[in-house]
Amino acid sequence: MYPRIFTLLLLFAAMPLQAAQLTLSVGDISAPSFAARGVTLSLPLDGSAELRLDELSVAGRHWRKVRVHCAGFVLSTARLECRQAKLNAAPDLPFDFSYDFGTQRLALELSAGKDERWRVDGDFHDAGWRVNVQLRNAQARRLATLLPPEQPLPTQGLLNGMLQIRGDQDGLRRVQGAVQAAELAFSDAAGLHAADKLAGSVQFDAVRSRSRWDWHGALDWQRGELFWQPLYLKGAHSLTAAGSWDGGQLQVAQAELNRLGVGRVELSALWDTAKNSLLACDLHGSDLQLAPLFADYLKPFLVDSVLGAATLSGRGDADWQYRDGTTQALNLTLRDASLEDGQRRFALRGVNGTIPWRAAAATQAAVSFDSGALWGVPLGSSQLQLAMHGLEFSTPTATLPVVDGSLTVHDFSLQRGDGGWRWNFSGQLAPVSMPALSRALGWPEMSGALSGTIPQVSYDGREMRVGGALLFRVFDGTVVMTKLALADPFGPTPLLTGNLDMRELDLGQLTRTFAFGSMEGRIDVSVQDMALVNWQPVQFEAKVASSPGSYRKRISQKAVQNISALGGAGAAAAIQRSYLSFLQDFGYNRIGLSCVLRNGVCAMDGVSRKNGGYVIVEGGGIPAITVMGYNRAVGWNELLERLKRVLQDNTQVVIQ
Amino acid sequence: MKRWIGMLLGVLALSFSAATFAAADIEINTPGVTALKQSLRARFQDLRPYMDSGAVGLTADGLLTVRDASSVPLAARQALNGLIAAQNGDRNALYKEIARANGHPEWEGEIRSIFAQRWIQRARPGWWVQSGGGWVQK
Amino acid sequence: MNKTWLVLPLAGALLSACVTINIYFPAAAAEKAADKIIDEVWQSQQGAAKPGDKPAADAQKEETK
Repeated sequence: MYPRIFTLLLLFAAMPLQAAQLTLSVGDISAPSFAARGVTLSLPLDGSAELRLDELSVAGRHWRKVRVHCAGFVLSTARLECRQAKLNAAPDLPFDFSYDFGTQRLALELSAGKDERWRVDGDFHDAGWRVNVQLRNAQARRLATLLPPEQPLPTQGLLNGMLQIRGDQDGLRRVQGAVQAAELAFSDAAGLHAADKLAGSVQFDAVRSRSRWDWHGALDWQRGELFWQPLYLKGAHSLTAAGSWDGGQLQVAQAELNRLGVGRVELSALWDTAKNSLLACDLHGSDLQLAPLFADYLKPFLVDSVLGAATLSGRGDADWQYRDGTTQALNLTLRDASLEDGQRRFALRGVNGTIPWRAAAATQAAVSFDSGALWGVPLGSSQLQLAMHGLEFSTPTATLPVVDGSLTVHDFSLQRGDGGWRWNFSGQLAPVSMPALSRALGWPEMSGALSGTIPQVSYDGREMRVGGALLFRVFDGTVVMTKLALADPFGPTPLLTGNLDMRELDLGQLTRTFAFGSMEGRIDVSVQDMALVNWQPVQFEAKVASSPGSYRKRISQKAVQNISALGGAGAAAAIQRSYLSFLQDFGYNRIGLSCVLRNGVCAMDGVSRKNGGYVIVEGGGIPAITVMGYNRAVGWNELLERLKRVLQDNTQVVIQ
Repeated sequence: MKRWIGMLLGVLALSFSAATFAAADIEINTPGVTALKQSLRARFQDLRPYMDSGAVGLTADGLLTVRDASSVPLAARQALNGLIAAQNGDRNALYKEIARANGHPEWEGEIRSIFAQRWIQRARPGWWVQSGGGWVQK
Repeated sequence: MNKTWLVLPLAGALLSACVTINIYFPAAAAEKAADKIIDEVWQSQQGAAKPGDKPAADAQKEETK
């Protein structure tokens, strides 16, 4: 309010006092951060007055065609008075204004409605001048015209309180205020910085000595909601702070922020008001509730990251030191914390530990967790020692219990590069029992155990690669995976590429696992040039063939039917009608089936070609059976449908 | 004379490539595109009221953005931000995946601009779209 | 003089090679593909939501009988 009053004051002071004419043209008035053009004052003989300004600029804000009408106007050598004045921009807000030339006292009172009142008293008599502003049920929305339009503007709410400004010839000396707000609402044009039904109070006191201001204040935000993109916060925050300002740097010597349900944070900071940047900050919080802290203050900034759907709980201490534009030190202590991904990709429970991170020094973090999961695979209790040096993290060796086995990680290192975070490690998987693992992953229960060596695994910020060959043992055979790469692992469409070679898998175990109908023997499976998008195959060259060597080779009636069913419904029916349906199982010589998948079509072949078709099961022994395929191009989705039907039907048989 | 032959060769090469590839198809029946389509469609159900009300508008670069959130309750604005971020993530992935599935990752930008035009072209009456730096209601 | 004549056709070939990259992009097909995806995402054509799902379910029923 202060500049406004001052302008009025200037305006009237500039007027020739002996004015007796009906219309007075003052012309232009200008002062620092104030200008008025085309100023005229009309004085009809009924005791009223009308002041017109073609243009008015105050502190960078501009108004055109400003008109003030005084119902009662008195001007004497001692006093100027304007009663029941109305501003054309705010006709619902009549005000009274008076200025005493002798005592240099100013009074301005705006009132509207039942009990809304804005009162300004100014006393400029002494060198130490003062202005008091009192608000009673003041409508906050009236301030909107005074504020820059690009800022969030008040739209609703009542203000009560006072503002006291003192000064001398050198300018301001002290500013004090205590304002309570109720039902306060504000918003910017796009609605990205807005608040509703705010209730609370602000108190502040700032005193100048020479060019330095010392200030302290308190903010108590009791109720209401605030959206400050991307943060959404509710009341129950309070802040007390004290510091100084030298015109260029704002120092917060000591501040204390309390949030109900989270805890208390103490901080000190140095802010460059000219450059609008944080120069230094120290923040300390003890025994904070991590769940609301993470959900309300951190997660909104992480929506695009892996943690975007995560929840954090437990308690923790944090110490943050910020200097020269970067974080210099961060101490974190976690107590019984849990991190859970909303999409069930990862979880860590019962996390305890201390992480004393330094930007420019080597330190050691010790973290333990009770349990966890990665893509549904349960991880057991572990203790990790992590060497940290700036944005480089490493551990020479660590053991993670995986289901009932364990993964030993060697030479894990994680660092921040140009393309984001990179990491790599090698490892060893001690036997994980397949029944337990398949149960955990919701797969059909497989027998055997998974174990093997994991050569170099690395992630470059975009793609996860396995160097060398990944070797496992399942179904009593060996599995070798080479050139494995997973691009965009946490994105919406992960792309997995690589080659897969399986040798001497036990067909008995395999067919029992997938309820396909019993077969005996051993097979080799090779999948080359494989690409899976979103875990669905888009291309590969796959081949299933009997392993070389001599072993018992039997195929059951059910399995024959199922293989035939993959070629279409007709073939299976043909077998059932023939005498073959009375036999339980058959001998075979070789089994072989290949599929080259491109563009959703599988080009199929068998062990050999015969009569315009291809042989899938080549008969041998007694009784022998040969299964032929004739369809060389089968839609991949159609093939999957058939396979699903076969497996489903068989499952039903098993249940019966 | 030789210059003419050179130009002729150039034109020939041009017309040849145009003739060869004009009939080319864009493959969109891949698991990646299908997964993204489903995800986009599911989230569109949540976003649609905001598009209808004008809170959310379509940008000139094939994405969505908050245009005027004033009509959205404060408590829902953060969720709306999240929805838009997720939808934009999927849209970006879709442009990338179509380019990849067709064996030309470098087409991503062109595919994005085609989509940007088509989203705007096919926007329903009442929706807001970015045009020449400003907002226009369809 | 001779060299210039040699360079020009080469330059022409290079130039055309550059231009072909742009023409190579099948804009019309991409537009059609985009429209198809947009229709599905915005469900512009009601009822055409999921072809193929129902027939498969029917077929399954028949078989279990």
